[in-house]
Amino acid sequence: MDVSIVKEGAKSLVKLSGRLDTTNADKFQADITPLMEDPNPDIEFDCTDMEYTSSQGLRMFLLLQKSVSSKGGKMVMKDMKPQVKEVFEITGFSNIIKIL
Amino acid sequence: MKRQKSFSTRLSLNILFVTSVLFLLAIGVASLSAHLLIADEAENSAGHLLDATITKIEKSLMEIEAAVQVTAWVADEQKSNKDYLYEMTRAVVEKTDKIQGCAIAFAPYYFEGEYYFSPYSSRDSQTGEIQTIQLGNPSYDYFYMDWFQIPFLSGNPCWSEPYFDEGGGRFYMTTYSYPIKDSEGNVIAVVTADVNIEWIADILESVRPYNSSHVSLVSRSGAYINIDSGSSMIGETVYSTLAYVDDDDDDIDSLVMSMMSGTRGTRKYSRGSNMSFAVFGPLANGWILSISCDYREVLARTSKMQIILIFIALIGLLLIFISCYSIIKKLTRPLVKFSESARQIAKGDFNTVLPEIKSEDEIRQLRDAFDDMQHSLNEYIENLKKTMATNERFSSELNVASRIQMAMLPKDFPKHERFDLCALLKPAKEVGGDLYDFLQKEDKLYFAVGDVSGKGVPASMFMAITRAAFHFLANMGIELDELTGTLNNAVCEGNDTGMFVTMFIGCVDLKTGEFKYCNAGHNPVVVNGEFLDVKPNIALGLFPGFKFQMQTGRLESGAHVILYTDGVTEAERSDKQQFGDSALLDWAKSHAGLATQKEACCNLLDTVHIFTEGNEQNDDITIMTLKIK
Repeated sequence: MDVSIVKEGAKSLVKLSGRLDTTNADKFQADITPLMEDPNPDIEFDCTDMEYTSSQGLRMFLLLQKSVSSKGGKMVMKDMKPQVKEVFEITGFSNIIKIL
Repeated sequence: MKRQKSFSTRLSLNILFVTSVLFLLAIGVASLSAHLLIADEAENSAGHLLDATITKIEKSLMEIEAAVQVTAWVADEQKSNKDYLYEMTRAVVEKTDKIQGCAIAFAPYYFEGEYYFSPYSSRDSQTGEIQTIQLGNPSYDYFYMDWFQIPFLSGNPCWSEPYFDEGGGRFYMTTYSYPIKDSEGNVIAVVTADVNIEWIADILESVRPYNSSHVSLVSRSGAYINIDSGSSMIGETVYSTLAYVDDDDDDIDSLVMSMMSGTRGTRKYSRGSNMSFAVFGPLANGWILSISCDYREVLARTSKMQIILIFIALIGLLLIFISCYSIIKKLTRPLVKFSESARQIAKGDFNTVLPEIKSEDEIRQLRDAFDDMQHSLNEYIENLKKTMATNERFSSELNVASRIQMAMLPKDFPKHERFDLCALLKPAKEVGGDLYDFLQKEDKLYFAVGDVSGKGVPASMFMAITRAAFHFLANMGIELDELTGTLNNAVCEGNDTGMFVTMFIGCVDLKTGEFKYCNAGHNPVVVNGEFLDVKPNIALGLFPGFKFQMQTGRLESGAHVILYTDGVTEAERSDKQQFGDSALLDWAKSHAGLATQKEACCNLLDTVHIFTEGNEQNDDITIMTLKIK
């Protein structure tokens, strides 16, 4: 999973590409640390090229969402592929994370 | 294996070799120049000796010539006084040791009526007495003797060829003849002195510069003058001796030729393998003196010098070897200690104390580098130990997690007249957190499959809590939506690491076939080859107090239910192709009729494995199948 973060004003544009699974979940966690530490987060994920996420990956998004919510910030995930979106929906994560 | 010589030995031998070559070169050059110098010197001194000897012999000969000339002059004045002439010859022999005999031989009939007139005195070799006689008589017709005839005819004095005096003193002799001329230049008489020339041999014997040197005096025609009486050389000439020499020896031929040409010279020549040189020069009377020296003897001194040089060189080389060896040995001693230290380190003693080096040279650098290496090794080993310990812990943690996971799961599947249920869990390498459980309470069969996010011990613990809570709640016989909500609240408690578990919980009434189910974010189950329509709700552990919606349906006799985790549908081949939902449904349709559910579970697992073509499993695979009889 490649993560590129671009700051556009106060907003963080995060481009995700590839697969997020058990083997690279730790790396992903390190990659999104700046987002976790942002005191005033406004995050927009571009999921156009995101191929897959495992439950471990879901957990990362959940942790990030919890962090964002606690600071009163915003987080949204856009342009998800159907098979990825399905995972979010089955697990009920679409109830927690805003998916556009 | 051939044992290597020590470093110090090899280095010393190398130095020794190089020095030996240098020494040899030096000795060679020194010897060569010494040879050249000494040869040159020898030739020069032989030349000086030759000149001195010539002068010495000439001086003696001149005394004789002077004596004869004075006699001739007086005899010319007193030729009328025959008695006086006799006396004169006697006086000459008496006064001059070297003169053995003296004659004043007049031409035929110089005196009226006297064909022969030649007063002659000679010394008896035995007694030393001097006899005086008239020499000429028909049996000794002196007019035809060389000593008379040559000066008589030429008008010049001359020295005769050497001869052996058979009749007189039995000496090796030569005769000096001096003509007396009248006022018209006619020779009227010849004065002679017979000279014993053995003294010349004595002189020459004393001037030999080397033992092997040949000193020879030859007459104008090449006859040897300096030979002992009785020697076999009498009568021989340089030319005749040439016959003894190898015919091909041009060197000697040309030496003799240039010698006999009457010039002063020096010449090198070889006789066999021996190189020699000769100096030669003429005397005033035409005789030729030569001194030959063998280079071997000339250079014998340099040979001696060479031997001394070589001896000194050998001692020098020995000293060099000993000092090199001891110096190098001393210098390399730390290396030996280093190798001991290295061996100690190799045995694992990383705190081996290195030898102290006081000098500031390469050995010191080596020691410092060695020291660095030792420290790096120590550090490295420390790190390695830590890593190993971590790995050890990690791996044992995994084992613990795996054991917890497996221990929690029920292994015994009940035989029941109304249903056949079987489940299996195939853990991935890194333990995930799949779980399954079932419970029969009176007529109701509860069953569930779940998947905990995360891995390792925390996931196992989470899974254990979830499973225990499910079991407890199912045993209470409460409605499924309440059960799920309570379960959710239970796992939410104290869960601040964001762990969650997706779970499908079902409950079938074995009498009525009523099927109640509640899905907590889990994959939809397959019933009779179709996905069951499920509300996703939300995974357990995310939001406490969440209201889960329960759904209801029916499982008639013969219904076939497949529960699974995403380890099945997301099982991947190496080309990232996933097993997928449709393959699962296909399998469900074609394998519903298998005799036992144990068989069914194993078959599905095999099918997944066949699909992944041996690609490494990266998530737990859990399968539960239920058949209603």
